[in-house]
Amino acid sequence: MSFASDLLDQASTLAGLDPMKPKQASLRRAISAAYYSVFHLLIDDGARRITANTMLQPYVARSFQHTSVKDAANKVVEQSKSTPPWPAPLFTATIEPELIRVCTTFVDLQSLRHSADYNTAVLFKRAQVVAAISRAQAAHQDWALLRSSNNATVFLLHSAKLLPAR
Amino acid sequence: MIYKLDEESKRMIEDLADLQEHVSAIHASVQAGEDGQEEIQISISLLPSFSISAPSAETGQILNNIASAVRNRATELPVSAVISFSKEGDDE
Repeated sequence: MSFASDLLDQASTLAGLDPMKPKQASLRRAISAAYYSVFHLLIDDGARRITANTMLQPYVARSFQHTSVKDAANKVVEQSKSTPPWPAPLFTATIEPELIRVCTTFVDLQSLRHSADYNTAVLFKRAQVVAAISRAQAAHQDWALLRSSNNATVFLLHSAKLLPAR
Repeated sequence: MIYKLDEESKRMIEDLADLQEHVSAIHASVQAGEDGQEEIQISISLLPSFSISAPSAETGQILNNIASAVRNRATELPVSAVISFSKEGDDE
């Protein structure tokens, strides 16, 4: 099992604690674990894409920033715009729906994770948390289908800020 | 707050067409995210009949397809969208 898969399992475990009256702490940590499972899924693959040196990969993975992965994910989603933003010319003509789902899930989970970790004014319900974990599980499945594609590579390199501005 | 969601765009995003099998309501508003950037926050309420007692990838695929369909409606807007799900009548 990879670290990303373990985090996904941990999210499910936390969401299932205290079936009658779940603690906010458990639900919030479940959301955070679900987000980080997708984050590590992507950056671990990104690091492997950048270097075959297994000793260097953890260090390369640390160079990925949450905001830059989010920006790159939004750029993938925006490729369907009438004037798609950079790095449009590098993507293969049609972006796979699986990649779009992975990117949208990542963006949505990151926002939810911010609320879960920092905004105590928000009260989380179990169904909301189970929905987030389910979306993360589906993103893992989708990523497995397209992780070797050209568009996935462009997304990862853009996430790592390895593509020039233009 | 600089960007204002116009009524036509809001109506288009919140349209339940094609989603009524699973969705009871959609609410869209512009808010600042944690990073300070404005974003369209879209909250999707699932019907009480939508089964979501335990996490599953199958449920996740349905939700991600709903999220993609709703987000597509906002693609041409100058602000990015963030989507969250809740369930109508969820007391836990």
